Amino acid sequence: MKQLTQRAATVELAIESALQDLGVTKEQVEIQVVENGRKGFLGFGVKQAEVLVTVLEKSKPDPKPAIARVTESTQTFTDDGEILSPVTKAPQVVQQPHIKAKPSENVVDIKESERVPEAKIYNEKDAIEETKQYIEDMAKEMGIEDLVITYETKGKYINFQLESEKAAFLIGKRGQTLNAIQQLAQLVANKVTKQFKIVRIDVADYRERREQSLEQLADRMADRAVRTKRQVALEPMPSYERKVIHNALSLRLDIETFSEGKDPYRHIVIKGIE
Amino acid sequence: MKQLIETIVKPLVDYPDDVNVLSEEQSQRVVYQLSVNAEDMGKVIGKQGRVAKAIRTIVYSAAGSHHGKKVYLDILD
Repeated sequence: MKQLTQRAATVELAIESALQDLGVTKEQVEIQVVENGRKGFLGFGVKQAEVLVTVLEKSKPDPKPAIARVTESTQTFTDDGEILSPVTKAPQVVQQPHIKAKPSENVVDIKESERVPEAKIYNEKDAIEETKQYIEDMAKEMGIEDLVITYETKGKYINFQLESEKAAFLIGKRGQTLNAIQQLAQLVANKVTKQFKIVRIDVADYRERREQSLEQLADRMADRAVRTKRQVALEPMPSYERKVIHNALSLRLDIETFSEGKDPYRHIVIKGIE
Repeated sequence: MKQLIETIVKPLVDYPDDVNVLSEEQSQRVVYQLSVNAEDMGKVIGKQGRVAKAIRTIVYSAAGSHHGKKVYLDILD
């Protein structure tokens, strides 16, 4: 049986492109939705839809069953289009020439998109190593000798985890120093890569703890806004900390949040709704 | 200290050889004067002085552990 898993922004799009890849119509397949897509909030928590498309055996035009079975058993995901075209050639080429053309286009697409990440990964490695070195040098000059850096990449994000005895010193007051290091590291990273990268640096789970305290702060301030019936302005924060607060308060119906001012003085204002 | 400023600034600019740091000790404070190639001025200052602010944050926090005097960072043009 021929199966294909396809990911796309929505379920409809995933099905459509899966059908195109397989070169079959909707009637010839069984569709199983593996994952419903999620739009997310401010680009946060976006999830792609995933469908599993199974071609039904009996409805498939099969003039040479023996050959078809062999190719089916050996095929892999990326080979779908290529193998499919000789099998479906005889019955379909006359009626619907454009369908045959599309799968072969898709084959080219897949191959190209496979090649691009390879080059990207290579570039990325350079950028990450350079950035890591930069952070190490900087920390050493600040008098931190026992720094250990690990990193992971996730799309355009590069996450660095730092470990040191003097974590507090690296973080600074309200993460000032850490944010400064992060900002400079991002500049260095983007100097090397062509693709835009976002560098995130965390020391000893500081970000996670900060996120929790921000959420608590957000709730407290929201309560105050409701109680006093006045707007509550928070102190200026970098964009991702503001996002944490917006996000935390997005479910509350009794207040609304917005940001005022220009970076680096941009701050959140919480307003009660009457 | 000088070394720290150079470590921070050099990878950011296009002309690392033109990065220069002078220090001037006064009674109450130490002033570090940073000069870079004219073309790199924008890079070390940044949009709204963002990069300059980040550099200063790191320099000031490191200064606490270095000596008792107050530290200033000037960027010369």
